[in-house]
Amino acid sequence: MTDRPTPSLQVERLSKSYASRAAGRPGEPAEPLEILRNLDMTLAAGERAVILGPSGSGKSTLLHILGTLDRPTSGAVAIHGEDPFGLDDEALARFRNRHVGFVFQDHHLLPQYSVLENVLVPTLAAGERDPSARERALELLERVGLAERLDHRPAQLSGGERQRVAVARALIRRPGLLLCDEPTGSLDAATAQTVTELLLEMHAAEPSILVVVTHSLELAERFPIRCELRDGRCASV
Amino acid sequence: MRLGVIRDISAAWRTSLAVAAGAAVACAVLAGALLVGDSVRGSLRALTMERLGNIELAMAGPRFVDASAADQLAAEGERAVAPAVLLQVGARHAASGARASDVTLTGVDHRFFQAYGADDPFADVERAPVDPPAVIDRTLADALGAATGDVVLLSLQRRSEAPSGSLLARDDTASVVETVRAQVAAIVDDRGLGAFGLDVGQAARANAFLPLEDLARALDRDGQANALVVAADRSANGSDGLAVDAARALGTRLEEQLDAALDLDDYGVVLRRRAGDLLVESAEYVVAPPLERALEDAAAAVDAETLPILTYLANDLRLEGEEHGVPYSTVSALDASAAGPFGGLWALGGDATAEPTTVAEEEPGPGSAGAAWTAPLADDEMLLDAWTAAQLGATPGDRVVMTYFVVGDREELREEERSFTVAGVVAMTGLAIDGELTQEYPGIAGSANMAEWDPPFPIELGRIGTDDETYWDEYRGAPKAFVSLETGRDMWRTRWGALTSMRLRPPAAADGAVTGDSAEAGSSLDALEARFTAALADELEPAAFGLAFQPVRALGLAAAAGSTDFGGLFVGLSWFVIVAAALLVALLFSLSVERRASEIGLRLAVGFGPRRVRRRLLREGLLLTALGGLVGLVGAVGYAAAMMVGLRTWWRPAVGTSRLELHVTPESLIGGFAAALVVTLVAIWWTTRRVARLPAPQLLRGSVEADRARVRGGRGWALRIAVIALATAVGALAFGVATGRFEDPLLFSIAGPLLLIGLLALFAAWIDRARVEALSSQGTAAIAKMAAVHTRRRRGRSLLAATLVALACFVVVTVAAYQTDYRDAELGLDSGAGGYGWIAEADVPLQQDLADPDGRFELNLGEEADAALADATITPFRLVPGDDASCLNLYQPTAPRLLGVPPTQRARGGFTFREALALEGEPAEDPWALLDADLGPDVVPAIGDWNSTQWILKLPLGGELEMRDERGEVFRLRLVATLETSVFQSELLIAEDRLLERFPSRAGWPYLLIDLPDALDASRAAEIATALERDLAPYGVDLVATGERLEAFHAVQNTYLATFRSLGGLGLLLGTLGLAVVLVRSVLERRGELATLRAFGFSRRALRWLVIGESATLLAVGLAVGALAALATAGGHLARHPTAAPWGGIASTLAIIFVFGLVACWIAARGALAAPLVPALKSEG
Repeated sequence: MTDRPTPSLQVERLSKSYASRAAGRPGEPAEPLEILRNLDMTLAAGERAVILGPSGSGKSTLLHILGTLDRPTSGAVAIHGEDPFGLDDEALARFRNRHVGFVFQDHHLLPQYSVLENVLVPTLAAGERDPSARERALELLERVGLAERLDHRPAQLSGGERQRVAVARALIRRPGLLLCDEPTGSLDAATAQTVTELLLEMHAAEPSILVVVTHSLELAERFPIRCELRDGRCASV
Repeated sequence: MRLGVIRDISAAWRTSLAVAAGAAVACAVLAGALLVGDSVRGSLRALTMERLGNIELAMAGPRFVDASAADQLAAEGERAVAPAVLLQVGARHAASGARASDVTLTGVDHRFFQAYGADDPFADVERAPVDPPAVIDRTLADALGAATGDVVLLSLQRRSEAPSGSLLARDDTASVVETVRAQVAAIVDDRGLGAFGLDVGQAARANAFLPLEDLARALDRDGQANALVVAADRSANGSDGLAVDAARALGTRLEEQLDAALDLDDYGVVLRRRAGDLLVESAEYVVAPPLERALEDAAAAVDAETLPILTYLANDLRLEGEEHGVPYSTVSALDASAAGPFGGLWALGGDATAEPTTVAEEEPGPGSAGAAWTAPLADDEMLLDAWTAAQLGATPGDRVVMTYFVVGDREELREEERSFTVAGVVAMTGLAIDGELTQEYPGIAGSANMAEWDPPFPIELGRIGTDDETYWDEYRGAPKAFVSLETGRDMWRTRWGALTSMRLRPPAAADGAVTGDSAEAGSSLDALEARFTAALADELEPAAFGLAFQPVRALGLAAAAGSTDFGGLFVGLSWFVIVAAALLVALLFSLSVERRASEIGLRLAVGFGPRRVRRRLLREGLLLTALGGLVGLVGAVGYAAAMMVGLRTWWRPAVGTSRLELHVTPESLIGGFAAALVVTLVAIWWTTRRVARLPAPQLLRGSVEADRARVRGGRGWALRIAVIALATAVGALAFGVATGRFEDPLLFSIAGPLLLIGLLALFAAWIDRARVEALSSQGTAAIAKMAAVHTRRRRGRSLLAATLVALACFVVVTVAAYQTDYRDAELGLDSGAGGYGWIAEADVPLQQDLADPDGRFELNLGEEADAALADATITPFRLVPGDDASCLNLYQPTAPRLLGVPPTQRARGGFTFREALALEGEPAEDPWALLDADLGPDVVPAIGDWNSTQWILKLPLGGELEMRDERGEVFRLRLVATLETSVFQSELLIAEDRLLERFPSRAGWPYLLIDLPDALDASRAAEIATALERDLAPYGVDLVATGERLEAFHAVQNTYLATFRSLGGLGLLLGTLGLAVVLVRSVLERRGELATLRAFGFSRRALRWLVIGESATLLAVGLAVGALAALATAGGHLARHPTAAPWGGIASTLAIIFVFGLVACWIAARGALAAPLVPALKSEG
């Protein structure tokens, strides 16, 4: 792990637009719907940022582009100094597996796997055997407070517990970039608070770049860098 | 609510359409299978009616009767009755030499066409000056390449008066075979008259018609016919005619009328009035047992005194120890003690050893005639006439040796001898000089002297001396010696009878003296003749002489029901397709219901009861399956029509006819529709039952997964089912192995499905407890393991998909396992060919032994064939024609053809027995020996090919089949053993001697098995076969290689297998469709999951393989389960034919199914994953 490059995220003039079906009259060419416009962002290792914005402002789109799940229409993204979008699909998947961790609003745990197995799922895509993976998974689950629920299935967990599993899963590969899409959006206040604390605690323990998309001002307040998406651009708040 | 259901269906129109399509498939297959049955039955019925025209009953056999009897029957019964001469013959084109065998030659006149119901094709024919005109059908014309105006030669068996094969019958080719020349006057189509035939069978047959008069004349049977056909009364009974029982009753009435119409000549009875008695003998030289019984009964009825006589020809009479004696003497066997009233045997004066008990009047005669001989002769006693005694120098007490011919097993003449003590010498008077004790032997009777004799049997004319000629001049055929009747019968009894004549006299006066008043005697003899003739006419039963009317139409229509219920067969073959279609319907409907889980939950939440919700879903299912079923009915007709096209064209070798047409009956359509509806509704009911039991909150969340407790319960049930099913299946298979009934269809129908169920239940249990081991792997291995685990996500769905594949695989692999290729199989002694390379079948039975050099000489074989046969093994079989008992005959055979197995075949052994009856508790070491078993009166042991007895005759081991012999007597064939797949599929085998007992007229051998020397290669053997056919052309001999015959039988099996395979292909399509549906649905449901995996570094390709891997797991499980069940089921067959087993075919079949399934899944996965997954991850915006 020591040979990893120093985590960094550089976004320059990032734009994303979609073809709009709603626009225009029949026969007229569709107007593209611009979600992100010339967005710039730079984050360094250990930094954490929150992205705010109303529904439809492009928060999740930005997060997916940062996580290389989606491609920008224009602009450049460099993660650890590397442009991931120059990679082919296979290499991009490997890149993502190596450098990016995700926590989603809907935890998206695999129902047929146990807690431990769900945490280990990203290691399956790694392509090489990591003997320490299981140990790390146990450690992470210990840290998220689920050491006693290793064999439980997602259906047997509460919403907060599921999200804690998702956090552990996101960290299993020690990603340099941890992206969270409304991680507390489906949780009650108390549970959301717990998950928030856990995220920050984990981030503190492992200094990656943490980017969180949320509507929650309570959560946003815990982040030193806050970016509000307006008209496709990031405005610091 | 109804509108609501329609709206629901419309809203999910794609799924609804798929559900309806599944129901359509089930209905099409089910109703289609029934229509196939209808079509085969209907076609056979139509064919039967076409063959018979308007004929309802027919009498046909070897006996010829006065053709005018037909007119008398017609006059009495008000039905058209026609005489005909009906023969099976061989045909050749006079110019080209092209041959055709098994031709039905019918001699007809206008009455026949009136009875048959067709225009007389001879009506406008202008007769050629020499050759009679012939009308032939298209089949024969094509076989001979004959056109109108061509001359054809018809080889037919000459009907001699003396029974064929007897001492008095000639057996040279010229005497046995009659060749009739005829000029083709017209060629009729194979339909209608060209299809004429009294027997059942769907194959096109070669028919030739000749004017009755010409054919009868060619046979020296002017004015006679051997067949009478009776027209149906259509106005009273419709086109189907009478039912079997009514037709039999009509037949009995007709036989009574026929009896009245026939005279003694028709029964071969010769009655002559002599000076003091009546003489009765048979035109066939030997009095057959039925006639003997009738004579005895008639004589008893008129209270006549009788003297039964059996006269035979002795080759030599000599004193014991002497080399020479008197040659060629007739010897009469009679009751010497009863001879007095019939001319008497008069002891020479003083030489009689027995004191006469009754002294009759003294008769004039040479020497000093003494008293009439009245003492019975002992078994080893003989009376010599005075002339012979003088020739031999014999006196009472001397031992005399008599030699004589008997006919051996192969109808060869064997000389036997027997010694007698001379009990006395009789004067040359009375019976001793009665030439009428001896019949007019052919070749002897008309000879002026003995040197001119030309009898059918060999004689040494050099042995005949002047004294013999003198005797011949004076006494002709009068017997020179007398033995007791019992002794004579013991020596000379043949299968045709044991009596040559009978003398009758009015009863003796009360005081025992024979009246001497000639006028009075003559008057009483007149009275006796009249009374006896009437009594004999009463006693003669037409049926006992083979003159029995058969209800050919009713029997033909009954047989048209078929040896195989094609409807049942196809339903049986299609069960898995029907089940697969039902499962697919269940799967699709369950997907539809699951997709609407929240809607169902909402209904429950707002107060709809679970039952009401279920009813609504069921109504929806009913509507969909009913609509699908209606569409399926169209498919059913198309399916049946396609099967008929297939049977008429590609599979024609199996059915032997191009006449199978589509027949659609409402019963089958309604039955198929209803059954398909029930099957699919049950599947839908099962689906709705599961969903409607789920709690509303769960359904509102869109979840239809069973809770853990139910899953655990389900696993328990799955395990229980697996244990029971597998234990039963294994038990059944073990029972099959232990009892040697490994290929029993019961095992196929029970063990196979049970194995399937058991293994699938095991899979179900495995799904429920599968643990993730994937985490110990990386990369591809991990993906494969993850895929396996993902199958448990929707266990019911996975199980259904695997079941669909397993069903198809089971059928396809079973078919592949049975698709044995025998063409290159070794046809050794234990094979189905019994080590024989060729089968020879003759239209005219060979009367000579091909295995014997003399026989081959007599048959004029060429050098080539003669040399080859010198080292060959040839086994001739006698044959009783009958229904083809093989799968080549679509009709239900009622009287199968019989082959008489000669002792040589039983000694040679060979073939492989599948099962044999254990007599007296002991399994037979040599099942051939069972043919000789004594199973009681009127029971004849029979051996049959298992395929024929099992499937066509439906005769189990130990089962009995009632038959009638040629004398109309009922006997029962009991199946004592069955053969593995053999060349004997068209017949049942019985011992030759038993066959001759029942069918004494079956002389000669129309069926021979030939094993040419091993040194001959295949092409040389084929040349020999061709040469043999050429040399034996007058007999209409056809040779076919045993391998070819076996292949012909296998063609039928392979046809069914091909049909099965096509159904398997349909099942496979359904299974693959199921897999693809499961895959696509699974991807759509798990887009979030898949997107997550993608987020964590799984590439798109990895995801595709993950999804495909899930389906591949189900595919592999289905294949493994189906293949295991199939191989276990077909294990017996594969074990029996290990070398011919198509292992490569099975392996490639499995590989093809797997690859096909994977390709289908790959296409489905590619399509399903084409849409972007990432949006599934978005929380909002």
